[in-house]
Amino acid sequence: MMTLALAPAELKSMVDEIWSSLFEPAPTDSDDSDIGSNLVVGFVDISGGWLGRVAVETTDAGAIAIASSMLAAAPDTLGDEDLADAIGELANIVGGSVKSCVEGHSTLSLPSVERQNVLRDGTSELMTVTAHWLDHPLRVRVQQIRTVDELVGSGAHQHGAS
Amino acid sequence: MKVLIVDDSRVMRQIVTRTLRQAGYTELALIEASNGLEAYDMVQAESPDLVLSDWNMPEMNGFDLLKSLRGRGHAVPFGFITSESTTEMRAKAASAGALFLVAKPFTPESFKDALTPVLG
Repeated sequence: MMTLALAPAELKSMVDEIWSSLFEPAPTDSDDSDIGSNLVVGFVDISGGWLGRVAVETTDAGAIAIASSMLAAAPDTLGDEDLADAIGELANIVGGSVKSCVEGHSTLSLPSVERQNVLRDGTSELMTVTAHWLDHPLRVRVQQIRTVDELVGSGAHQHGAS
Repeated sequence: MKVLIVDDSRVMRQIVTRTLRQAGYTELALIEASNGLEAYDMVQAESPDLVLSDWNMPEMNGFDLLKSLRGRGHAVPFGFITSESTTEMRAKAASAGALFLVAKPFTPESFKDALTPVLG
């Protein structure tokens, strides 16, 4: 099985570099993993020998600040589509960097944006980076999605029909 | 000179535009498309001097856009600006006729390095 060659410290460096290239000021570190529950979540899925999801999460106010900065537009001129575009594109950029750490061939999905990032069956949290930017919480999560074969092998999943 | 920016994200098209200006390309005429299909039609209609395209897009991705253009004999200079930059993708892009692949996130300097041979 192919693996993801990425350590949590490397993910943090990746996020710092991406953030610094797109935004000012740089994000500040945060140990607080609880950033609330009503979040804007942008994510991309990586599929191939390794299956996983890379998600970027922030609050509504954080998403507005991010979109405002990326589009160089006043916050009150932004619509939901702009917020989704900005957070989705951030997830795409972080996901592309994470994908480069996957051994072998893999593909990156188009970004999606939802209100919550709920761990699905067979998905486990691999690593998380939390930070603050302009007082807005930011969280980047890398999750591994196990295949049906792996779930069956581990006894964590049973086929409903044969 | 006319440059066609192809990306399904309006945010990213905006950032590419801003970065081109920061890299010193202030006199370019910039036109935009939001996927490969739209870009294919714009290349025919607008005859840009350069196409800067994302890779991963709905409708038609950037790689298929490049293959379609070359398949129809269009030699318009073409470069990728994409979040994915594996060795495999760089080789694939080069073999299809792309002049460069700039990885996101990018800087005005990385734009200059890639674009100077094309735009001067």
